[in-house]
Amino acid sequence: MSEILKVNDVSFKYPAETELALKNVTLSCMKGEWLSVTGHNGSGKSTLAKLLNGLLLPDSGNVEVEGLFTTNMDELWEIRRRVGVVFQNPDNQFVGTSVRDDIAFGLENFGVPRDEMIRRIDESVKHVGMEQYLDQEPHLLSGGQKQRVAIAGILAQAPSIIILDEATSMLDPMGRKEVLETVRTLNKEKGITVISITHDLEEALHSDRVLVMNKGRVSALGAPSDIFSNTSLILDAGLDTPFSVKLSQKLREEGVPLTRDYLTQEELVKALWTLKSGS
Amino acid sequence: MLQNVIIGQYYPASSVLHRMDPRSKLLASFIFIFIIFLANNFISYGAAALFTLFVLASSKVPAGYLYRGLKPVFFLVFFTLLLHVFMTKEGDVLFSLGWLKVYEGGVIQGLYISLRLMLLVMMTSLLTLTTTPIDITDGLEYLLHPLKKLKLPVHEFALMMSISLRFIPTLLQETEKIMKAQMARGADFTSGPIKERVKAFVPLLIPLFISAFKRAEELALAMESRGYRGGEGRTRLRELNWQLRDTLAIAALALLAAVLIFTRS
Amino acid sequence: MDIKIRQLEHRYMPGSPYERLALKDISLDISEGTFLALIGHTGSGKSTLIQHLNGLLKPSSGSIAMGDTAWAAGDKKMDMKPLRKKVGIVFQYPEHQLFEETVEKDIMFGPMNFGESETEAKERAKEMISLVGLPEEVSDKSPFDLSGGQMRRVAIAGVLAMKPDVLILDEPTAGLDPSGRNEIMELFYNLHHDRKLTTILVTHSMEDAAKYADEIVVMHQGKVFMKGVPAEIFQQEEKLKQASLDVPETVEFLHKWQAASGERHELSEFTVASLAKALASEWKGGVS
Repeated sequence: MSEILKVNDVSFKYPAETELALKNVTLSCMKGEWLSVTGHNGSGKSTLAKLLNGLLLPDSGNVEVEGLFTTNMDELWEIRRRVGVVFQNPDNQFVGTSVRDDIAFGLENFGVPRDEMIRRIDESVKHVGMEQYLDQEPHLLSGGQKQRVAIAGILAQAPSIIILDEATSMLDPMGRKEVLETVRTLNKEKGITVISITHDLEEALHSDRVLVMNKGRVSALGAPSDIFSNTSLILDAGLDTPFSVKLSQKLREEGVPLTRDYLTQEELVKALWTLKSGS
Repeated sequence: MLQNVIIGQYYPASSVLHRMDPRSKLLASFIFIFIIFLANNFISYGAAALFTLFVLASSKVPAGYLYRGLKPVFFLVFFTLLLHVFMTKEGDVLFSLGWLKVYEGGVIQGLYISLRLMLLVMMTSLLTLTTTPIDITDGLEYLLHPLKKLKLPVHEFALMMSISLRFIPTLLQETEKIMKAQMARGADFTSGPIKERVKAFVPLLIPLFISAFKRAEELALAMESRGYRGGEGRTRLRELNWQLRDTLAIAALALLAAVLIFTRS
Repeated sequence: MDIKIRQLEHRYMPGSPYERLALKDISLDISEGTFLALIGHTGSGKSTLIQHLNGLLKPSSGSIAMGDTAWAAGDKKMDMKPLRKKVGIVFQYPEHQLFEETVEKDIMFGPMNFGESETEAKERAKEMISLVGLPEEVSDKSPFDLSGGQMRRVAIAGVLAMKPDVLILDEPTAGLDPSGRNEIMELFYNLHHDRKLTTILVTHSMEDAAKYADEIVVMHQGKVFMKGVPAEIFQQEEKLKQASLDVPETVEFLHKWQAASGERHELSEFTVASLAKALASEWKGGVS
């Protein structure tokens, strides 16, 4: 797998603040992977998201996307076409007066000819399952539907990377499922790289790698199994331990001879069953 | 009472008027506003009124709907009528009530001016009733396009209008939500002396403003993220389509103008 | 305060083309001191229902009694203010209702509206700031200078300052991170016990319902779809699925384990600890 995005020793400070929001952050993201970025409020994870497509520019260091640099003004717009962001509040990123107009907004900005635009809208709206709603007004859509429209808008731009900036945190469980399933399909079938800023444990557990941010620094980066078995790391980052890890630990306390923590229910059931039939 | 006001509202139907290009409708309304001032006698006002009724009939907007919606405007029309009846001192005295003398010229003037006001309001209402707000915005952007040469921010203006339209329902929902939250904390928006009532709206307005600013900030960021950088180099999905019927509509207005010029005295 | 709801129905925008029946035939008794979880997905009618309990919405038909105060559809306008004092609602994202210059003044808003003296209101503000776990010094700060989580606490303090007997919570932890979520829920749970409140928690979280509720009401398409104690509700996984709801993770795991091993366990509590205890019994001489 090749590197699609590189953050090289980036530091960033908001003008009104005294403290750095990001301190010497270095990481790289592989083509086609699903990277979850987690950490408690104020850990710098949302700031990081905004640096990835040049909505914020680093004070030092640089951000590189497929060989283009956000600090290079001539390349910034191409980076924004390739890196789409779905933001947290479904309402505050819906620009058009209808689904169709909203998906068109990005294409209009990038000067896509009208015939091509219509073709791309029709195609991308199908990928998010909103083709029945093309003429619907935004205030008649649910939060999950609005987020799927936002995804369609990005998809129409033929992106390489989709960033979810806490995109499911204001949704109900059904909306969350809808959105994640949509993005998962795009990740699997189209090979679009996903970087997801999230508090959602389930989501982090099912990603390829997890990045934990703490006080503006990268505090850990690794496979979910490595990250979530480190309880103190997780609690420091203001997160909850996954259910199956908690249960594994409690079972050991109760004297069940489990040798390690399990991340998913399926693994734990299997381990218990092996244990039981072995004894 | 507010929900009965139809000024600025859209009436969904499928009529020739609904299908017309917003530019021709805007232009026609504009022309009408100017040429109605040509009318100054019974025949010319009659012609303008007939024309308005013809437009109403072809809009498929029920006359009753328009009538109910314009009720609040009738008060204004009636007031104008009274003003003229009592203030204009022309022609013969029809009758007098004590010191108040009503002149023939006043009554005729009053009737004409009220009719003019009525026709103006009807025509502009028909424009908004048959054209969605976003189409009006598009039409305005195209019509005002030449002003760009004078460095006027025509594109920005149109975008601002369309974003406002997009957010009106969202802000209404939000208003209701905050209102309820404050009522649950004992706020009272409906009773008490007027001064108290104005003060009662502070707990509603401040949260609304704060949230509107936050929305604006987030929206600007989202727009930038989606590659927005002003009107330069943008293509458009929404397309306007000027057809024969639009040319005919403008021709009809020209014809009306000619009729008014020939019949006025 | 006992709550009695009889054949409640609510229509939005009656007589217009947008008319919608949001609640149908709701009859419900909630006795004083209950911690009730109201569950259902978006559009099931939960929010509409709770707004009837302090008169923010009027029934289209049916009747409601909150303690000694009773009203029915078609009653002439009655003054809901005395009732609103006793029934506090923490709305979703309550920080959106903050408006005053200082935290203290914002918390005083409710009590002052309900006729408390300024001294009393100040006293309560002080009490509530510490109750919701904020440092004393925030009192003179502008609520808009605080972090999102702190603003949420200020807004909650503003509702608690009315000292309601019935506390209605509409997804009070939405948008918070996991540690914030736990702290806020623990706060409400302790308050419920210490002050002997009647609490109604509107939530999507089966975990919270399992952890805190004495009773659960599941709403679906504007109707009461299920009602009972948590153990009864969670046994009916299939029925919950019809309302697009899941069982809590503890129950889900237990069902998986039953399917794999054939062992059966009854949980009295739905915590991870009690699940671990129940499962561990299989390793302690097979007593289950």
